[in-house]
Amino acid sequence: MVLLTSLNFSCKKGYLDQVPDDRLTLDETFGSRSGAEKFLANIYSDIPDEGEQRFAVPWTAGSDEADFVWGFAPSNTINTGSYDATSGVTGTYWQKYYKAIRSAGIFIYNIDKVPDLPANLKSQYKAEARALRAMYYFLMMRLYGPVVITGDAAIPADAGYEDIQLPRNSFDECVDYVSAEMDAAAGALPVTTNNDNKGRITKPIILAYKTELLLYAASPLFNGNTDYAAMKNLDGKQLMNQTADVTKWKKAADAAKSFIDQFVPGTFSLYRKNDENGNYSAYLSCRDVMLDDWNNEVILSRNNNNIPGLQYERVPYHQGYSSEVSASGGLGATQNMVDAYFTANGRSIDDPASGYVATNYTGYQAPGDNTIRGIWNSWANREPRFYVGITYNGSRWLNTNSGDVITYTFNHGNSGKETGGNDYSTTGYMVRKNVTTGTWYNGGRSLVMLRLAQIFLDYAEALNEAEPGNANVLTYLNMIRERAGIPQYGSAQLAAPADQAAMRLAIRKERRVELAFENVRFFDVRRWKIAEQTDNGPIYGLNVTADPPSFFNIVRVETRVFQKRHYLFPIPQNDVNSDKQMVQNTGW
Amino acid sequence: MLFMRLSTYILAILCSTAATVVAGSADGQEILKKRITINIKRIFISDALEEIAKVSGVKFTYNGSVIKSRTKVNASANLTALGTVLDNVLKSTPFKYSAIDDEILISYDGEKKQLNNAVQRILTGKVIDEKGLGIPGVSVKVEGTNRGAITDANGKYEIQINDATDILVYSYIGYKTKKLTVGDQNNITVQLEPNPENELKEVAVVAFGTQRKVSVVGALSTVSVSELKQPVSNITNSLAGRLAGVVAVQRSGEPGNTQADIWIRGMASFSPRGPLILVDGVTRGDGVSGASLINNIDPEDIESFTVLKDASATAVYGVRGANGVILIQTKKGKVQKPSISVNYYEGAGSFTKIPEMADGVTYMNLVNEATTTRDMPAKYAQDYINKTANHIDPLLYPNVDWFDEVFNKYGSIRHANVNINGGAQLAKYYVSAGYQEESGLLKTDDLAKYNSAIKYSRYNFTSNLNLDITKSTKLDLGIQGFISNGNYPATTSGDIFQQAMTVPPVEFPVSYPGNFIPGRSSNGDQRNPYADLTRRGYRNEFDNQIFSNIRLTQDLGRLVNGLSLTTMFSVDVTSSRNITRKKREPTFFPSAEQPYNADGTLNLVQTFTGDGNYLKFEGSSFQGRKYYTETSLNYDRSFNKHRIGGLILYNQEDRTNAAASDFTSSIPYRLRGVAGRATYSYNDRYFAEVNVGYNGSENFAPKKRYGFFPAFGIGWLLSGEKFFEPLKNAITFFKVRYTNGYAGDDVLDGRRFAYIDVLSEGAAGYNYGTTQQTGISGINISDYAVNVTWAKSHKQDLGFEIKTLKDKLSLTVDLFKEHRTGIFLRRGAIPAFVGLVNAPFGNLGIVDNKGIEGTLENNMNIGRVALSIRGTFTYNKDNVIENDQSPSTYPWMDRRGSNVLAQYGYIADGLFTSDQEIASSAVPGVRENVRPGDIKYRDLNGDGQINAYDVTRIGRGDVPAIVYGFGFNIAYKNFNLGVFMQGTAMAQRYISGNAIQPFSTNGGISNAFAIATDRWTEDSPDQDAFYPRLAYGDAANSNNTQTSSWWIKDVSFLRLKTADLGYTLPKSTFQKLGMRNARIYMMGNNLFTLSKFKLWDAEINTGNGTTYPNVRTISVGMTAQF
Repeated sequence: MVLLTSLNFSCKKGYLDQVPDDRLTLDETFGSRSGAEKFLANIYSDIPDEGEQRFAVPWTAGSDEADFVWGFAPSNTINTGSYDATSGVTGTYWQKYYKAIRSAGIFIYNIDKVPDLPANLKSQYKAEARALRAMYYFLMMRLYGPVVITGDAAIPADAGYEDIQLPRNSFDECVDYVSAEMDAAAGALPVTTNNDNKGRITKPIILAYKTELLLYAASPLFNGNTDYAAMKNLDGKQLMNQTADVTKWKKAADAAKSFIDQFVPGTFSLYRKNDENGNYSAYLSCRDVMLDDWNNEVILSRNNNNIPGLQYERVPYHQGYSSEVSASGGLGATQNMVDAYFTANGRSIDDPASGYVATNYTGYQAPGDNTIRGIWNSWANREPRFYVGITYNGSRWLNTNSGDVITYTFNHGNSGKETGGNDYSTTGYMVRKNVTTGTWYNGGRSLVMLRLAQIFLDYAEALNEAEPGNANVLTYLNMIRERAGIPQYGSAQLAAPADQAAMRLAIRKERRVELAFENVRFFDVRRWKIAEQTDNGPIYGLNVTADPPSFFNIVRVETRVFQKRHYLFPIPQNDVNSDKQMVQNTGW
Repeated sequence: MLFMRLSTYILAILCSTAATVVAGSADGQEILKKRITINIKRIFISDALEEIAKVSGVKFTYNGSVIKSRTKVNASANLTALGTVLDNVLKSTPFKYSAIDDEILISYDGEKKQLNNAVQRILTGKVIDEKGLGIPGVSVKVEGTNRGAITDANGKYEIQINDATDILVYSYIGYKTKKLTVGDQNNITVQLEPNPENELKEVAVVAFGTQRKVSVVGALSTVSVSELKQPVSNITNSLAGRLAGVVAVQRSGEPGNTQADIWIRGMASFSPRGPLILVDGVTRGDGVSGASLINNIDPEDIESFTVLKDASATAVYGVRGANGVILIQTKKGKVQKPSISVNYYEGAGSFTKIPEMADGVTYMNLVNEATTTRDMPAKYAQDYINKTANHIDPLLYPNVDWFDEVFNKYGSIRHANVNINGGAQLAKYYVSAGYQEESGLLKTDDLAKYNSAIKYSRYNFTSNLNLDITKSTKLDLGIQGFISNGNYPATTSGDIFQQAMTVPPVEFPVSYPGNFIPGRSSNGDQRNPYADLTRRGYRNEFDNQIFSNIRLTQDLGRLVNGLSLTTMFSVDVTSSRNITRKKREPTFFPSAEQPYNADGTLNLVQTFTGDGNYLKFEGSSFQGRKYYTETSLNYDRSFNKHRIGGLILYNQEDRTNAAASDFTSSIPYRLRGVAGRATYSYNDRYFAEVNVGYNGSENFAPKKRYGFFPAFGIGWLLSGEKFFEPLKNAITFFKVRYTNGYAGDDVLDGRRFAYIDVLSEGAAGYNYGTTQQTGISGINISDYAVNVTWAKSHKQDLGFEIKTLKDKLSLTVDLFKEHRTGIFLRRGAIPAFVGLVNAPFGNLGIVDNKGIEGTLENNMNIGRVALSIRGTFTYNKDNVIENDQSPSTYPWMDRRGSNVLAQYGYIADGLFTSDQEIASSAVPGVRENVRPGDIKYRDLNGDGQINAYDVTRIGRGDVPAIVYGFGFNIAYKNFNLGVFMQGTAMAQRYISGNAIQPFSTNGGISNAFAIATDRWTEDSPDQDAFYPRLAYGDAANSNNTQTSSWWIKDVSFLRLKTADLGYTLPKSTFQKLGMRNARIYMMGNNLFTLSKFKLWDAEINTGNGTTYPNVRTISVGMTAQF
């Protein structure tokens, strides 16, 4: 019997030929609309989730806007300048975006095979993938400079090492390629989508990113930057252009203007909101432009995101209060950023006419508050955006659902260092922007990636460089200020900047405040080539290891390191080692 | 059986008592004339006397020697005088009678014996070997009769002697047969001489069968069964140091999770590869999960344990043979009367080593030192420290040793096994039942309504049946099974340890009045270790398994002399079920502003919400099913001095995860193959062998599926040669052997069907729409199809076997060398811009491995003391030749040329001594954070920075290069003492994490080892301190927590693995109860450990001490045989 059983058992044919026939193949994926849409969704998923500040995205606390208390945050690597070509923080984006670029190529190649997908959707989806691919190239270029354009056809997975010895393209080649791709994609994309498809790449989204791309290409980091003179491919090709070309500013300004002409105000406009009495409220407008889902200023917003995580970092510790208002407060806003906000009369605090006072307590009712409170003078009479952006000692918390909560950030305060243990602000301020007025651990809203104010500021900046004195510079800058509830330049209260340089400074100041904590500053200081000043040296905050009054002393929180080579991330070492054609960025 | 003997014994006592009572006086000659009628045949003399007493009414008196006499007598009388009857009855016995008063005394007659040769009696004796130790199982026969006996476990025997001219024949395999004439002796102790001829008949277990030991040319080692008997539930923990070539380390002491990591001859692959493990010829450990399937075999059911190490021994396993093979044979029945063995022991366990933590006051002073010496304000005010020191209010100023709070001092172990072994020539059986129980050392809380105590219990049973169906057909059936049940706290013990090392002693008390759980963090961090242990629920793991195999062997000697056919079919069923019921309660902390309410109660505020006070359910289960079959033709025949053997075998295996959650993993895992062997020997001096494995694996494309693995071996018994004769007195046995061949490895880590692309529907997706609800899951490639094949290992082995000092000392030494190519690796040198989701696999790695191993055994007698000594030694050196790393920027970064598990980091050049030195040295990160007393690193590329380009090899890893063991057994009279030491050398561990450098993570909030006082300070700038200058917080510590040689610690150890003291009870004590052998013993395990590493048990697998430690046990037990 044993013999029979084993013989019977062994005589089956194809014993080892069991093919898992339910195994999903590429052909099956593109054999149905739903498979193809899932493949596309995966490409979309590489749109960065900027809610992941603590673990993945170092842009906020890695700039002079903010500082994380936690040692594990990748921003620490940035701030100490201690990363190199083998560091995770520098390799992550390179890998992530190239994976998405490869997938987009596969999608574009296969999408026409899908039998049950209408032709118009085939064309739209293909354009979306193309737009995303271009966008990912751009997101890499702003980090690494010139990259490798890998082309439309995916390199085979088992390609021999000799087949993957590709050189980098020059930065200008990259810009030309990406901008052409964006134009091509825009041509096949709709201007708007229905509500079910919000978040899909549309024509204005990709054209807005094209504006960004051209702005970067015109900026000093990439336009005639002689620091990179030595960066050449093995065949001698110069990777970074060596003469500044002012027409690049013109291209950027034209792209922005073209965007405005096409889509403003028809599709987008600056978000404006009235208070309960029906009066315009700059505070509510600037606060809720981040909170009100898909409002008319939002160009691109990411639906799946880690909003609860982002809010966890920004909601103070608030010991003894209910969990809906208690989190960590681990993302501290720097004194540098606090000082960058204008006063209520629209001036910088170092302007003698600003009326700024840095000592003693005062009584003040902040926008959004319902009563006068005793606070430190520095935080009284500031512009509305200050109260949108900064949680300071003695301020009333946004969420009042279970009563007023006043935040105290001094050492033994309810959100102070001693109280919070490992959860406190190293600066005595917390970032407040983009935090719900409800329960912090509820997500369910989208995360704004790009909004119209940025395009206006892009336009003003590019135009001021391309055509100094063009009236539109001031017009668009003032539109931002008007919405923010502060006096406009050239108005009765405030003189217009005198010349191109003064205007440049005013635009940069405005941009820093308007787009604070929106992951823009990190890149701005690099493309302007001012990071050696802004990100190198002391970062200030209040004395959080003390209680008042010593608490109010401004102390150095940390000393940051930024050297010339830090303007660009290094190319991952493994790619440089494996690809003999790959030239490393200068200084790495 | 037992009762039968017992009743005889009682009867005998009754009889003799009765006889004594009736004894009286007066002349007795008259009674001898009494006429009686009786007819008895062949009954014992005592019975005969009783019978006569009955019919005659005369009392008889006699002593024990009459009762004991096994002489049988006859009596046939019809109204014959009693005296005449007695004359006849006692004629052939050594007894005489005399009449005293009205009774008759039967007594021993010394003269009579002289006259009569036909003296029937029971002779007792003992058979000892050349070392003076009793030999069990020796056949003792009276020549020319069918009378015989077999010696017991101590070598003792009893045999009926009918005549002084009887000749006893003692025979035992491996010994010269001895004959002697009985004469008048009643007790004969015989010493047998080893027979070198018979040594050639000793049998060794090899792949797919057995082989004569002398002809084996492959490298294999065997451990004796008794060596494995230890108070451990998992036999894998018994192997280290006992078998040359086995590298085994026990990584945890948690009941039910104690399996050791095993490597044969070290590592020659990039990911852990355990040996293939076969129990009774069936694969029961696949080399990936290592020993998992044999973990639960009761060590008492194991007959032999054999390790196959070289290609000649393992080539027949083909694509699965490269990592060595372990063969386990369970016990089989013997031809004997049913023999019952009972073994029971019970003991207590405690941790070998618990991390010692700093107490609260020391802790706070160290924290203040860490902060104030780095320009930070003191974290703890002196007032606070004083209040803690003076126990002012332990609720507000706690001082907790978390390890004391979570550990019990002792746990318990218990083991029982009963087995029956016996049978006749046609049917033999071995049946066994066992029970094992271990309780853990973690505390429980009386308030909990559930049981979270660690307790592991297991029931084993084994049944082996061997039947001779016909003279040429045999059938064997074996079944082994177990059921086990483990109970644990819901939070894993590692996690609890992690918390105990994270939470400072002064953070919060164990609990607040009213059973509120203390906690400070709003996101629940710094969990309370005691609450984690006792208040989070429980986990229950239930496992069961049945191994079965049925084997049919047909002797085909009628067709071809020496040919036989074997076929075997096996079914294994495994299932497990895990249930977790857990919760997380809210935590509380006294309000900072007002810690007490007006009524004096604590003013607690809730800090963390938790997920409710009721237990939530999670469950998972696994079911495995395996079929295995093999059929083989065997040939073994000798022609004069030539001996030829052959084997051809077909096998296949089909293993299914019956509870698979997706189709791909539900597809059976299959293997099939053919194995062949040819052996030849000439005059038992020259040996040659060829082994071939040919088998296939489903993992590879059809064209690359089947592999052919040949190996050959040659052996030469020098001591059998003429020219060796002069040396023969000094060296009694000398054999040299050499093997060379190939074996394979087909396991792809986490990948099946490597030749097919895998697209995953679980990839990241995206949400569209304003409602946040129209999310689409993503599809992406998760693995690329690659045309790979198995890794191929080329192995060579040169072995020497020597016996000297009249065979008392034996030494086996093997030199081995392995060159493994085509090891699976994900491509390392592929640039990321290609955009692959993950790097595809390739046959890319090359590793060389070589080493030496040896076994030394010595058995000797010193006076009446029998001493045996055994030692093993294993050393291997593995070397990465190719790992597909992209070309290195600097030569020191290249990982080729190092061992597989080598660790990489910065080289620590001591501690900084001055600010000037810091200013002129490269540092990682921010220079202003670096102070004297911090670690100085070597700037290998001289670029003024310490970064990835200064990373080089700093340690060899935690798998030891050297494993050794030695021990002895001493027997004197009824006592025996066994001691076994086990050690490792050349093992290093990189220690890291918050448990290591105090205050280095979590913003500084972490517990500290007591050793934290051994640190560099400005007052005592000791370069050899355990810790560099203390620092508080992640940033301040970042210089010192870099991966560097500073934290590479030697984790070699030498441990007293077992000590065993036993006393064999004197035979007379229990013999009458039917026990043949009874022994009580005391046994200790892991009694002490010597190691330079002091923080925790050096053997456990952790870089920060957060693993359940190994356990020291002391137990007492008893074995008995009936």
